[in-house]
This record gives sequence, structure tokens and C-alpha cells, in this order.
Amino acid sequence: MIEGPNIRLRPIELHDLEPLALLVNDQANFEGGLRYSLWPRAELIAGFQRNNLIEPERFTLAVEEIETREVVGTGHVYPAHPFFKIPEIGLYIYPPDKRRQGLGFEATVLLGSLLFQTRPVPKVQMVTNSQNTFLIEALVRFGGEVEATLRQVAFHAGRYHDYVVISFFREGWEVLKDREELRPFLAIPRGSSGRR
Amino acid sequence: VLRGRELTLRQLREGEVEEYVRFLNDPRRSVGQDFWFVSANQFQAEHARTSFLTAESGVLAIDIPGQKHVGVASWFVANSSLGNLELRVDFYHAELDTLARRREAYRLLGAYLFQTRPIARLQLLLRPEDETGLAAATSLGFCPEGLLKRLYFYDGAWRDLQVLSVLRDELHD
Repeated sequence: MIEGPNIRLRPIELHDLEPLALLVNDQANFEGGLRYSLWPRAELIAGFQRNNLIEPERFTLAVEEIETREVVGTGHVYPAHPFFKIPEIGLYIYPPDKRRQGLGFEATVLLGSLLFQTRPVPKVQMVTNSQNTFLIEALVRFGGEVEATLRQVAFHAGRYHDYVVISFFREGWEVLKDREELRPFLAIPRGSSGRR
Repeated sequence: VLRGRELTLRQLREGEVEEYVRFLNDPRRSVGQDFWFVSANQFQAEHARTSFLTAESGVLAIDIPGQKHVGVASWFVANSSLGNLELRVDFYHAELDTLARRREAYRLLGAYLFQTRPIARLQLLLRPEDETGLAAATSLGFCPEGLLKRLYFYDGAWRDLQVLSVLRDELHD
């Protein structure tokens, strides 16, 4: 489990499956140009039964709001490209009323911190819709570097969208760890004391 | 079969898989990706099953006049989250990798994929020092989109790659 000030990231548990299937498949949670595609309930359950959606190179975690203990999103880590081992973070906060509160930012930073602490990689990458300026600005303020803008790379909500590639580099991350005000966002993986 | 003036792209034959695997398993090649060995048995089985042509990926042999199977041209999904397609062209011997051939291989593959798939863009990842590839790509309408730093490990160091893309109406001869 990884925990920040407002959320914890943890492996998906059996009791998460039904509410998660509803969250990820509700088109109302994908307004404003967000990428919507059905995640078949059967596939979610089969993946959970097979390996809890956890493999060495890729995994999916539940994003749980600490205050409400409600699962509000999913965090995904997978190889950035089939020919490279650099990890990429995918992050989804589903209920619209939970967005733009910094939960996605917090989850991204927690996952980045986990990856730098547990893998010998020089960078961690993520891609996000170029219209997602709230998250992009927050990540850039946190030391993220916009490396590329991928033109018309994904089709959803009736048109093609540009996505930006944002990378965090290990040396920048090491500097951030020394800033007192940022330490809560760089929490290291903790023990099982808070596990249900 | 995709025919051009400089080269032809066609399906890889069963007897050619071994040479393709030998190329992939040579750590001296610097083709812009992490190195790991691949299984010849798995590649043979995959070729027997799909001929290396699936809905999302493909590998074609490159023939030039007088020489068969001098390299491979391929496409695949670059990012599992976005589902975007990427092209690759690899010649087994550097002396055969000319600007005209690389250009034609990108053009044939790009035109084929835009004709047969409802995609808006195709991308390439090229080493910044790959002047042949960069010149070939930009002359066809590919635009640089950024430099992805420290993306793969080769010869003891993390290396950068340039990302370029071409949109459907930008690809030209």
C-alpha cells in the first residue's frame, strides 16, 4: 500500500470489483473529452482471479480516498513502449466531483515515488490529454518535463486529441525529496498497518 | 506485396525467420531499443500461426533488386494505453541502408497503413544520430514532436530517441 495525505493506492480487492465495474463503465464519468472505452466486467473479474491485475512489469491499483474509504480511481503502471523497460503511469479519477482536487496529481506522484524507489530506471513517464492543463501544470511545477506532444494520437468524444508525454527524471526526484513541504506526496511504500 | 522503385516489401517466408531472429539476437546492433534475446522457437511458432501479420502489427521482408530479405519493415502498437501505431525499418547490413531505400520503405508502409486502417497518424522513434532516418522521414512529411530522453539502455548508457509523426494528409512522395 502507498499512502499520501488524501489517498491510498492498494491492490484491488474482491469487494472492489462490482463498484469498480460500475465506475469505469459509466459514460457519465467521462465528460469533457475524457477517453471512454468499456472495460468488460468479465475481463476485470477474470484478470482479478488470474493475478489480481498484478504482474512484474504491469499492475493496476485501486485509488482509495482515505476520508471516505471510497474507491475513486485506478492507477496503472505498464511499459511505456514494447521495446523499452521505462515505466509509464496511467491514472484515472472517475467521479467528476472528485476531479480537479489534486487527487490525480497525488496518485501520480505517489506512483512515481514508488517506481523510483523500487526500479533502476532513470525516468518515469506519463501521457495525458493536452487539454488536461490542470494536471499538466501541477506536474510541471513538481519537476515534470513535457518531452513531446503527440498529435492526434487518440480518438474519443468524436474527434482526435493531442497527448503530451511528461517525464520525471531520477535526479529531479531526489532533489524534491529534500523539500519539507513535498514530503507527504513522496511517501514511501508503507507496511500493512492500514490494510483492511 | 508493396512494390517501389528501390525495394519491395512482402511477407516473410518460413525459412527467413531464422535470419530475422539472428539479427534481433545480435547485441552489437544499435537499432534504438533495449536489448534482450528472443526465442527462435517462439518466433517460428508465431510465424506459423500468423505469418507475422495480425490486426495490430506486422513484419514484412525487404527485397532490393538482386537481393532478397535484406531487412524488415514492421509496424506495431507503440503505447498500449493510446493504441497508436509505430513504424520501423531495419536493414541487416548498414551499407544497404541508404536514404532512398529508407525513404521508400517508410512511404510504402505509411501509404499501406493509411489506406487500410482508419488511423490519423503514424509515428517513428529514431536515434538523434540516425541522419538517414531523420532525412528520409522529414522528406516524406513526418514532423518532429519531441525528444524522449533516456528511453533505452545501450552500450552502457541511457539513450534518447526523437519522436516524429505524420498525419494522414501530410504523407507525400
